[in-house]
Amino acid sequence: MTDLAIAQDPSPWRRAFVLSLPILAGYVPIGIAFGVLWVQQDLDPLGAPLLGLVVYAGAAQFMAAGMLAAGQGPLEIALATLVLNARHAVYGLAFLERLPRWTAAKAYFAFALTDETYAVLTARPSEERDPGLLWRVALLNQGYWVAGCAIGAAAGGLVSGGTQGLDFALTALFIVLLLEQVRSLRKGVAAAVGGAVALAGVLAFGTANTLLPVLAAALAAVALVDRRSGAW
Amino acid sequence: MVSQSIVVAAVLMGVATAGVRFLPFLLGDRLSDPALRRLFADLFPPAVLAVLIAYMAVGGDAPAGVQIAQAAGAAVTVAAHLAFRNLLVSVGSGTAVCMLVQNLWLA
Repeated sequence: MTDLAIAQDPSPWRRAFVLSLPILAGYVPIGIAFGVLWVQQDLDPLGAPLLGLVVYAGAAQFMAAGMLAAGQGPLEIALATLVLNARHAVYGLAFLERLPRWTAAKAYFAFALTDETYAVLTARPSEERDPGLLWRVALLNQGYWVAGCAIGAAAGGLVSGGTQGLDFALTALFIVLLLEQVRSLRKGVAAAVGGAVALAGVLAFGTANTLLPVLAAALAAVALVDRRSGAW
Repeated sequence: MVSQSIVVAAVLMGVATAGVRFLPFLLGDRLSDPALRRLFADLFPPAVLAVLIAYMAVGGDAPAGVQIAQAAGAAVTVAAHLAFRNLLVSVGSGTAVCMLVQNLWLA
């Protein structure tokens, strides 16, 4: 469906579904991978969709599976989650103008604003950013995620091997979302600067506990480059 | 019945995650600078994605087979998306190649 067709479609749920299709293709296989991993750690299968409902944060859920299986306590896991998801603290800023008043829909959207939902909604032209679409896209996305977690948890006991690499679906999804984002020179430069800072940070300091400071450095570099080249 | 430790962990993780996601909405009125919002809406999304991809690409102590599989998967994902611009094809083909290479290498 073309961008124009999406914008002209009168049904908000249909428009939201079309916008969420990229996430459907990524979340279901990644959710299945999480569910399979969860069960293979000898954790209660119901816990996988429960985390999808209550936490709804892929990387943190993968981390929690390993930490729970290793006997870590809930408080340690929650603190690690806080650090891992701290990057989400900036995402809502992109939607403040479209959600000026507090409603149940806004509260749900704030809760469900994942990396992927943020990426797919900020990739659309501004005229398509109907506030009513935001929570609908977020709700559909969480539905895909919870369904994937449940399917993986249900099937995990039946899978004996051959699932290595399934979690690459998350990386592939990020790659595609980035390709969709980079439609202008300014955004391309922002991605290049962010990627270069991240690579330098990882090579210099490793990946353990460095995501947050490296992300902060990358965003600061993007802001600096943007300010110095205001005529792009 | 889900064990109590999983339920407690899920609730605490949910509170931690929701806390950081709610923060910008709670501070919204104090962040009214249009230039700042333009940064967050236009330039930071591709930068954030690039950072996450970089971490996934070079992070951890993955064995050579896994790294080769991921590189092959990434190449196929990009090529498929540039050729067909269909997310299902792009993510599906890239993931399938990554799984195939990884399972063949580790077999």
